Amino acid sequence: MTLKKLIYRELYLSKKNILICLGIGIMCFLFAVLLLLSCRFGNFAKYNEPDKIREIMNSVSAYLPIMLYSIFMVEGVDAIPNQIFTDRLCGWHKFIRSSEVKAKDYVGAKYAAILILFAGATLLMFIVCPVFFLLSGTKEINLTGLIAVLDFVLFFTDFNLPLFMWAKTREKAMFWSTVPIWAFAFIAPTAAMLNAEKFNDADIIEVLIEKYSNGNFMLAGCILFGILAVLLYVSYRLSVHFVEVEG
Amino acid sequence: MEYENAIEIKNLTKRYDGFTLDDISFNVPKGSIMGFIGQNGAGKTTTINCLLNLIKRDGGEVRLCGMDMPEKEIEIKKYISAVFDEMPFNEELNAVILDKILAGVFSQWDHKVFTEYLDRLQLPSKKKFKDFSKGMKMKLQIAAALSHHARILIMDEATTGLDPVVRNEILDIFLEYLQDEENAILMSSHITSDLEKVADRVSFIDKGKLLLTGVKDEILDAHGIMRVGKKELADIDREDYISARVTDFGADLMVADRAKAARKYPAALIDKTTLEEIMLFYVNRNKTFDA
Repeated sequence: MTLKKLIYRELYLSKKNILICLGIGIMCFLFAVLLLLSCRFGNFAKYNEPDKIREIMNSVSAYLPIMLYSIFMVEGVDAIPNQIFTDRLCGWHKFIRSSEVKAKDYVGAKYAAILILFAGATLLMFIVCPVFFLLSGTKEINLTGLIAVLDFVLFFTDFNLPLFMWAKTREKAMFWSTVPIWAFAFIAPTAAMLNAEKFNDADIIEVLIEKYSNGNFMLAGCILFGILAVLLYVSYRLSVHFVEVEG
Repeated sequence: MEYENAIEIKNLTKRYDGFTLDDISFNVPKGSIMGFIGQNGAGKTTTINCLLNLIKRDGGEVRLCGMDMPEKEIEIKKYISAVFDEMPFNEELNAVILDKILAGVFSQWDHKVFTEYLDRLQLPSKKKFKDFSKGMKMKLQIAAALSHHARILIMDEATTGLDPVVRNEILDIFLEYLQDEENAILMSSHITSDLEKVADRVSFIDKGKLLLTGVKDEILDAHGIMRVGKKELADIDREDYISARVTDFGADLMVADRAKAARKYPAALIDKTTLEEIMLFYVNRNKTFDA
């Protein structure tokens, strides 16, 4: 009951951020549709190398739904330290600790809310991406983008851990939490470029069957999610410790 | 639950770099309001934080509702309400949403009581808290604090910054809350006039040390302001007064035993005093200060 109500609070307070993310996602989607329309019917056809431009535009547009997912991811992982600092500033932190709620429930509700948002964002991506592929007629799937996002989340979660330990002010935490975003701006395209050849021009169904049935790929995915789960748990334990000790 | 004192603090000690809460001891009996006074930085909030186990103490014992803190922390906190100087609820929320959230925070949350308080205190249920005035925010905190059948209400500077009308309204609610003699209030404030109005007992803390604790009326009866001329000041024994305030016409001396001072200095005029003056003279103890 306690956890449920606290999760409700976190989701209610995330409402505005979720709407902003959805707004950005819709804009990305519309932008991608406009790009595709321009490729097919616009002035691109008049250029010297229309196929090349179309190829680039297709790649860009195929990457955009994944951007939606990554926005949720960034928002989600970034939310926990920010929420704890915001709660500290508004006094909720102190109030909740003066009540019968345990620190692990208070922090647990934040992580549960984030996991719900992740699940929602993943579901949304699996709905939006195929719809987009159907609309665009593209047979490419940018799995590299997804892998880059997961890599980034790992990196970001790992990076955020020390924030709990030493960033005494929200401003300091906010400043350092922007560093991985800038790092991501370099990591994602690099990862995409390094892996691009493996997936380009492959049939979507083929990619899914071949890669998902490939034991190595599955093993790598499991290890990746395993590390992510361990880091999230460590992050959760550190957060509980932070709430209990730092007050 | 059988206990006499709602709050028992014994030899409470907490050390910080540059500040020590030093050996604080006082009790708050059931059915009473304890005014906890002292200037800013005196140690009131540190004491309350230790009481609520928000910070770890370095020594001493704390018992609430007869139970040891922190041994029975979760059990104790079912019977405690804390009200702080700043509203702890996110400003994007409204009272309807808060009602749902607090139902998960407090096991004995009473939706009906909360709604009644909202009506009584004329608090809009669907307006976001960011549009509330300071007085409304405080009233909301009080409404939330009293809606889960807490036995002890702990207030940390909760009436500071409020206008007299709202303060009076809140003080009336406290007196009503104490109609149930199982309840008790610890109210920290530096607005001594509020405490003079409602408190049964007073504890006075300064620079981390407890200087006075006891029944308010007894403290007020015992203390007095002895008014003397500048020439007579030299004739008063130093140990007979707490401190002296020099005015244009003479000096005001705070005496801790009015009856004894009257016997020793029959010619001197000794007036009754207030908590504010007691606080002022004790803060300036062992010295002479200007009016």
